[in-house]
Amino acid sequence: MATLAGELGFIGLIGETKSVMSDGMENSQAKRIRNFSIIAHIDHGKSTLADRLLELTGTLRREEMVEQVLDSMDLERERGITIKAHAATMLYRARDGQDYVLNLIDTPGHVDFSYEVSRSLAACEGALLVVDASQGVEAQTISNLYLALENNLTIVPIINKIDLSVAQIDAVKRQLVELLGVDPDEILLVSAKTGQGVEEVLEAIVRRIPPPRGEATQPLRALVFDSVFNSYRGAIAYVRVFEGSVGTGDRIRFFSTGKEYLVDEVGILRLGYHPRERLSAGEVGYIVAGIKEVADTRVGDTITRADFPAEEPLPGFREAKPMIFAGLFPAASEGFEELRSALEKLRLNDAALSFEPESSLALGFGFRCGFLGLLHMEIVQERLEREFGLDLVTTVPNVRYRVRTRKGRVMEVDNPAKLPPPGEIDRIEEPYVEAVIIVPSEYIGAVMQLVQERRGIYLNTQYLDPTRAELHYEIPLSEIIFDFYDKLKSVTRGYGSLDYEFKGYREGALQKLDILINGEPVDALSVIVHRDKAYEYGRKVCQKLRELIPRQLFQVAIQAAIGSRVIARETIQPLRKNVTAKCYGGDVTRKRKLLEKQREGKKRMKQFGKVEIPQEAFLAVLRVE
Amino acid sequence: MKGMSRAAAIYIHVPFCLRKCPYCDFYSVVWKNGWVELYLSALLAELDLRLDSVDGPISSVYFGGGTPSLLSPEAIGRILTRLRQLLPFASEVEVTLECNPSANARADFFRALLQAGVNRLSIGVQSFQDLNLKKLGRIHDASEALRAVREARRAGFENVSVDLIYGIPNQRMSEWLRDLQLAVSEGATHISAYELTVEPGTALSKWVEKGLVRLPGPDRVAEFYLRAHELLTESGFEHYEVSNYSLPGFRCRHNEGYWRRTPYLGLGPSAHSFFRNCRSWNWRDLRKYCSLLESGRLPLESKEELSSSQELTERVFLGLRTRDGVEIDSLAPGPELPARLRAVAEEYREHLELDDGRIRPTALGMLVAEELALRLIRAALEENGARPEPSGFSA
Repeated sequence: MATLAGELGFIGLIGETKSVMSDGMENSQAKRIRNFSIIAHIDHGKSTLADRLLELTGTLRREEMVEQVLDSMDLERERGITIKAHAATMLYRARDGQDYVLNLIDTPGHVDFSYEVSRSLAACEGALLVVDASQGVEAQTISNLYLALENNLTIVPIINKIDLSVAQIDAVKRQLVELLGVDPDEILLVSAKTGQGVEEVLEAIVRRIPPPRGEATQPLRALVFDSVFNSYRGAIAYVRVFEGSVGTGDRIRFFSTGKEYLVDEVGILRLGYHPRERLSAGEVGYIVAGIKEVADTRVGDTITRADFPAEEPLPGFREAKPMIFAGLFPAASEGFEELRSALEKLRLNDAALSFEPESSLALGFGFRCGFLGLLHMEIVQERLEREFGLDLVTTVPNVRYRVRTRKGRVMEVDNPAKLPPPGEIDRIEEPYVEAVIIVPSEYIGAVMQLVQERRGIYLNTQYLDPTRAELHYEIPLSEIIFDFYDKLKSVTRGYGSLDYEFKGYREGALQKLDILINGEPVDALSVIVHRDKAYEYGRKVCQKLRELIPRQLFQVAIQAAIGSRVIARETIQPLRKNVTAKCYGGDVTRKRKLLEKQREGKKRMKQFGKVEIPQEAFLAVLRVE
Repeated sequence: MKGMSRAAAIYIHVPFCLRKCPYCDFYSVVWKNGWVELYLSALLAELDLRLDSVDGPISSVYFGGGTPSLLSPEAIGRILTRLRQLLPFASEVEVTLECNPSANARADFFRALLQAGVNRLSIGVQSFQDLNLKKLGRIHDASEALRAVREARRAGFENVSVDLIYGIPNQRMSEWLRDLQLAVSEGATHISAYELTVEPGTALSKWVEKGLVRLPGPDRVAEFYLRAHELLTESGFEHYEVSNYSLPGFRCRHNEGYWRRTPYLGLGPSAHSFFRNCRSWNWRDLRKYCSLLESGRLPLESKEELSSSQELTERVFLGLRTRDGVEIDSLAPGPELPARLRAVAEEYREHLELDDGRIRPTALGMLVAEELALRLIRAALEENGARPEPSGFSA
């Protein structure tokens, strides 16, 4: 499936490149390299600025420009986010008359992918920090900034969208001065849309961001910051070479898996693959080595030479751990194979997506999938529906719980139905995050109330400026993953922004809530819920089911229970009449057709013991708060 | 088997009414003198054309409509004579005429009908209460209704059926019971007790849409049904179909044919037929009917050949309307009752009985016959091809 940068092919190859960059660059030319990234809060103009840089450096001619060319997927463009990191090597003749190689490493712009962001940043020496002049500093401005500082990047502060009439340049300047401790004069004023100030950005990159260090003679250490799957060449690793060099014919080894491969090709990325003989210390590019899966080219991993290996990998590698889980089921049971095949195709390019088969009495055969976060899940869902045309049922997402049994065993449970019986449980722990919420001061009260309802623990408040506060909370992840962001936007009239980071597991008064129909638990509807919320949730579900389950020929008892204790119940009275008064010769055809239609309708019912439950009922409940 | 696929009953649709009842969706036009003769000659022409669909012996003839009693006894006699001339008749044939309790429903009129060959009357009483009759838009009143039944008996009709309706807006249970009691005591040998049903396109449906009338809810209607069952069975009537009760020996043979899917030939505009596993029907248009036949063509609007699963569907839902139920072998061939069918029947002990190779509904069962039918049909059809689990799955 060719959707990502790796399959873009060769767009806008500029003839001059070859003469400027000779094959097998000398190390002395490393000082003409600048590796940088652009970091910003969502919609602050990161992609537009990237487009301008590409344009200005002649990497892409204006006519070939598809707006925000680096966001190749429709989905990315639509949502205004970057899902996969891309990189582009640009050539720039600076005012000093020298030619420089500017490697832009684009970063995924969402909190779900902060690990990927941090590894992309680790590949750089500097970062352009972009802030929207009409919005000011927001949650991800800060979280991305922290990541950049953690990686010791030189920051070039930029205020974007200065062309807007509602731009508040001075106020935002003050915010940045406060945040970074920089001189106001160091802040660049830019309109990526009109191109104003962009030339200065290029100059600033050259002058302020340091060149890479590292010797080409040392053992190879290259950082994998991304990878794409190409159906002809396998997984292609995007790397930043820190020390040593790598070229065709070399035998490389990945530190995390220990696997070795023979290099087919290396090169640089200029909106397409441009092969080179070697990549050396300080350079950014790609490696093709017959690697079967992107799962083998893990972000943050270090590549070294098998025959001349480095002693230690580059720091910061982490296995991408899924944070939230949901069941994905085909709406019609015949769709199982299609779903499996679609998920496998998606995984080719998404090493963070995990899935395994799951069966549910209520929903049939499907998969339990692990995602980095809610956005990741939504993107996967949308892609499955849009690109593969699948009709899906998704369960309410849940987090992974850690359960300690009385016998001392520790197990990780990501499916509430798999929780051991209450008698065996010593305690349940749930993941907590530290959430940063930035709001105008007048909404602080509303936010505090919202977070309290969600079991948030207040940490502290800082003020970005007299009108904007930065609130820090510790809150269970399970309270955030479902509609918290929407509620936050709603109580703050859209001004609130959210970012969060995993903090650890904490014990909670958590229990498994079962929904029983005529005494039998319906596995797909089981949830793990906090004791304080159990009653309300149970009551709502029972009511919803009562509305949606049609009358049967017998009474239907709907109950919500914790263990053996029933905490809510509803009853559906039996159907007493379902027959047409008259059915003589001329009525038979019409009546039969009606029954045939009803029979089709019943096919969408799930049989649960004697009770027939329409799929809509499951969907409604599984999506309820 | 081949012989059995030809018609053994005749239905004649008489499409004339004095006035259209707001709840009725049978085809009829307002009676006009000139049209009757045209209709009669067209009818006989149709019979001539379709003789070969019919095999004997004819065991029942049914005049439905409309208001068949608008035809003169002489006209009815003519039709019956012609039928007897052209077709073999069984030794005992049930000949039913539907009639309304109108001004001419008197003993001498009924005697003339007897002479013409009619031996069963179905009187459209609907109710013996004036108020209810008004709500139903009937043109007779309670006293006329009562008189019609009495006169029919007086004229010598042994086999008299009375139609009654329940579920009328604001109808009291006491009124309903009284209607039933009267029919019984006036000597009806057969009672059809119908729930008032809203058919699309009728005046009643428009009133309901506009909120001008409110019908009782299904649970209330069920009560009416059950009280009727109680009263009538206690009075010696057999509840042999959802809406039909009869004294022993007085079941309506013709209607039973519908539920047992025996073949029949339907004549007249909008009439349906069923033979050779094929259902067909005539145009719902008197003018078109007549002109087609005048030019020697069949007045057939459409037909459908039944597939085996359609056949099965019909057997089940029609069978479950009757106390006699469905024959299990007809659903799934084989000596042993398939486990799934048995399972369904046993799940609904209150509604279904397993008895001598048949699944029979109880009175409660008949009331939910369609729900039961759906479940049984599902079980029967999935018998021959249970759906497999996805391959390679190990949960």
